[in-house]
Amino acid sequence: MSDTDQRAADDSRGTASRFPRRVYDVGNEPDPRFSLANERTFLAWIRTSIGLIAAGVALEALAVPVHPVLRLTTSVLLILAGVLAPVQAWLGWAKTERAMRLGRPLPAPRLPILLAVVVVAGCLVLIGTLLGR
Amino acid sequence: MTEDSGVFDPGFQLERTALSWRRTLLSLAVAITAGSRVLIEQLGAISYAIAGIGLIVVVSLAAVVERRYRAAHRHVTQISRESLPHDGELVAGVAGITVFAGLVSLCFVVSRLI
Repeated sequence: MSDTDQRAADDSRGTASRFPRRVYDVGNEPDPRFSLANERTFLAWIRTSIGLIAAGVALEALAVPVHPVLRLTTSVLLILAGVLAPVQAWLGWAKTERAMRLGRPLPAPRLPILLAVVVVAGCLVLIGTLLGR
Repeated sequence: MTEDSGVFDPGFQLERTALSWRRTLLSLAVAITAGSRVLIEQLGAISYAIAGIGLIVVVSLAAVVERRYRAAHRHVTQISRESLPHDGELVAGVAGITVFAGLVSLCFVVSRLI
């Protein structure tokens, strides 16, 4: 058995129990470098999410001198965006990994636009409140 | 000295991914510690327990990540024939922990209204 055949056999054994089956039950093993890049994109989203949640909590915990209703609204918006981001990160990771295994074009990101709008809205509310004091 | 002394991973993909995992887990650890400090007023000693459990989980994840990195390194350098240890379990786990942290934060913020 050649080296390539041996590697392919090892790979196919490795996919048998990999989670999620929806991703690993289809297609062929992509170039590992692409999978690693996909994983790094996922991790960048997780760090973004942590930042959003921290910002939302800090607004309330530090009692930033802003109108309480606007402060709470901004805080909730930021935290909600922070909760949505990991969900988007997971779905995006799975879709991209699946597309790479099937040799299809990579899916376009969708939720990032929504998240960007939410974050910008939150920031505008905050800035407007600070300026209006 | 071996014949093939070229770079086995020209883009340092493994290194960059391992560092990315470390950055993320460090951020999670800091967020958990800071979050539990914020919750002390409302939860008292329970917040210490939350911090302890959270940090144990993060350290466990770091150990898994380190093991994966070493296995992937062995795979790329062809020291071992084991397949690349990549799947979605760790990815799903970290996403789940972050969502949980977000929901706890949301409860904290809303509870200040009451």
